[in-house]
Amino acid sequence: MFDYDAFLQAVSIVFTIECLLWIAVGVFIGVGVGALPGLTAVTGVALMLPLTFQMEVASALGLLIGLYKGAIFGSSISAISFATPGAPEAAVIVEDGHHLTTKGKGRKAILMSLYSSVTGDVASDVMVILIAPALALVALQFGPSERFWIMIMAIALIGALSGKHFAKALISAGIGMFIATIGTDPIGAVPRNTFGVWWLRDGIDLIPLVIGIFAIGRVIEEIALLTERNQRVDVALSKLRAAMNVTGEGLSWREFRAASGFIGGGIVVGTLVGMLPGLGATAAAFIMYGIAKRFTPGEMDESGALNRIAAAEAGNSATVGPTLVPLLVFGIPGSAVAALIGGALMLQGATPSPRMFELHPEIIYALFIILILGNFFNLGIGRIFAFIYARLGMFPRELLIPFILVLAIVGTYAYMGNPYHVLLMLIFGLLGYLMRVFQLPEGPLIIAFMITPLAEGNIRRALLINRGDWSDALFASPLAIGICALAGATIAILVLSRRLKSGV
Amino acid sequence: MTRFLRNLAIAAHILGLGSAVSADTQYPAKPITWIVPFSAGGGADTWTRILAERAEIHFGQPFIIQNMPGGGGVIGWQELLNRPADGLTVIHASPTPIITLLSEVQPLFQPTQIKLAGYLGAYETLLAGHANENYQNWDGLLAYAKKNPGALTVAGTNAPLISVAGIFKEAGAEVTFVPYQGTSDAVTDFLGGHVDLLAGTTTSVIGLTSSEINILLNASDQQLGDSVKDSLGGPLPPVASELGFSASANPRWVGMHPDTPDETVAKFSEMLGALLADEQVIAQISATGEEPGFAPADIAQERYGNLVTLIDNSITLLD
Repeated sequence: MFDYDAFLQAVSIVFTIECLLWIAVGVFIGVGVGALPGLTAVTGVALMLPLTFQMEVASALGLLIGLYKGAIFGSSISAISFATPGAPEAAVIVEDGHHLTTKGKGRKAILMSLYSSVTGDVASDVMVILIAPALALVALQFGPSERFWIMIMAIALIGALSGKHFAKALISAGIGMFIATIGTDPIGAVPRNTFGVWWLRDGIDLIPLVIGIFAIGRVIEEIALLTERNQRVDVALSKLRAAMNVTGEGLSWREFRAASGFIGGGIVVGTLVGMLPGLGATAAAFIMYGIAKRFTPGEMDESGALNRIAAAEAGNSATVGPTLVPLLVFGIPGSAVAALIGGALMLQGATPSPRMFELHPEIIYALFIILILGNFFNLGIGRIFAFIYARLGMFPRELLIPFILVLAIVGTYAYMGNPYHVLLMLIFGLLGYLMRVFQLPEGPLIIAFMITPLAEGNIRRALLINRGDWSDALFASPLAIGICALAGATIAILVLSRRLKSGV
Repeated sequence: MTRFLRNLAIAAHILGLGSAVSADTQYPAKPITWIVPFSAGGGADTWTRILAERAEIHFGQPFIIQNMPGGGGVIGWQELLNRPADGLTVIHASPTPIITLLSEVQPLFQPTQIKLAGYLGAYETLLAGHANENYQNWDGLLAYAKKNPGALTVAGTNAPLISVAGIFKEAGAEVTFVPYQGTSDAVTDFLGGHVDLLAGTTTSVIGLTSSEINILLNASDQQLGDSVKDSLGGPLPPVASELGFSASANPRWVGMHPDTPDETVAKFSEMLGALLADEQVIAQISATGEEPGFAPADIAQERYGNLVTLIDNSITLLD
């Protein structure tokens, strides 16, 4: 099974000055791309792809994988510092991260995010290397019926995100579900709920939605507060001077160790979610955050906030390696980034296919080495960025608000170059503001938005495959029945724990 | 060479052909904008970027690439219609926006609102199945499907499903179509054995072939490319058009505003043909796993008309 010659060959192509330099460049660009709202790992990798045409295969993989890893961590920097998620996967930590920043602990929060990201990533990469082929075989067992139950399971876990007011969470999820139905029917390919607006036919994209709800919603709220306070610019400038003198508090080893359970959970969830096509980093972050929330004390508690950040960040970073598993073993990209990396491999003459392990073992090993190596680059480069951004995050709101606004608009436009996305983002900003006014939680909206099309597509396909027979469609295999039982158990545990907590 | 052209222009001028020729030699006087109605990173986008690298050599002007995704590929097309018909803006697309327009009850405009400047290669739709005892080839598959109407499930995104739907209809066999939004999801469910057959483009299907998976039909009107034949190794799947079915390959097409003067279209088409014959372009496109090819404006226009009719006839079969 283990091809020693190919491994040696892989070592010799990875440990060259050129390849190592490209990994560093990739991580450096990635952290920046991730931190800029709207520019996600997918956009970054897509933009860099043409550069790789002329490169050696190891350098090409180094650049793209370094960028991917850097971007997943980078998105948390702006979430923590500016309350603006750099990418959807960081949206869940905005609340806790920014809360810490306003208390002068932004540096601590970013370091926790960095260390848990890197730990989650390293551990999941090791898992990928050890069990890649076997894992992909399991992933293929999941057909439409099984995936439908996975979605139900995810919704059950998200119940944990709902906060104190279950009804408000349901309203929020309902809005998310409706937004998700706008666009083209996943089976019939006819437009629905588009209000006759032609450009809504492609549906609502996650990027303008997330930036609108989480960044613009907050900006509008802050503007409303500022006008009330009627503060003057010189007050702002004096605050700025004060901010530059503050050295943020670092992260202690004890705090990191205290979060190890959450990081461990993140690794398991991230690895599993990463391997399943379609879910990815955002779902892993939201699921782990939901789990962490059940086990951590109240909103304002500092260690609780740190633990939740650790859980979410370990969860989303642990999806990085596993999303490549279906690509390497079966040639099926499990995510958009995996598809682009597959494209880069194809241009290098190594088309990902079920025969990849047999035809290009040295490339597979080189990729494994780069996966592990990239984490160390991420750690080093991430630390430098953490230091700079933590200071930026303490800038007074009067200066930050216009900055966030510009970042959000530029980022949303840069994402696909679609001006309608900017319009949608502003509309969702208003929605986000209204939700904050009425104290509706945003989490259920986002997760319902992501899960609805997957759940709908899968159950409708299961019905088509089983010619309209509901019982066959729902319980097609022992696996489907098993996940259904697991989802049932999750709901039961959540309901029970809620009752115990409220003392009913 | 340039001196020769100049002398030729002077000669033409003396002969009284001046105005027409000089207008022609001036085109394109400015950079040409290529609208790609999809986001960066897709097939049309990659092709356009490869072409743009050599644009100045063959057109004397650079290309400006503008990604205008959205509306199922129609937003970019609409933008083309809003710009002047001066040949300085073109669109490079696949059948996707045609399918979008035809599936709409009241489309913004008809897919015939275009003047074709060329086909840049066309890709086949392949139908693949798992090795099993019920059918080993296309004939066996048809016989089985006729005996068990609706029992066989076919996965794929809309465009390849539309390509095979018409063929099954003409053959009088009833199968169940399971539409997917992304190729990778369809491939996953096919490999996992959750659906029986997979309809997909050559590049997405060819990597899957093994002792377990056979390609049963080439649902197009062209033979597979040489590099694909090599990687396939074994016997080639039958070509649908040779079996008497009305079928078409899916083109990458370049179009211009419908009011563009014919001479401009012809001129552009000629330069485009030269660009597609450029060795660097051929090498880079081949590296993506696709076969470059070229059909000039007049031939492309005719094949495009047939394609629109074919899609229009097949699109309702998926419901």
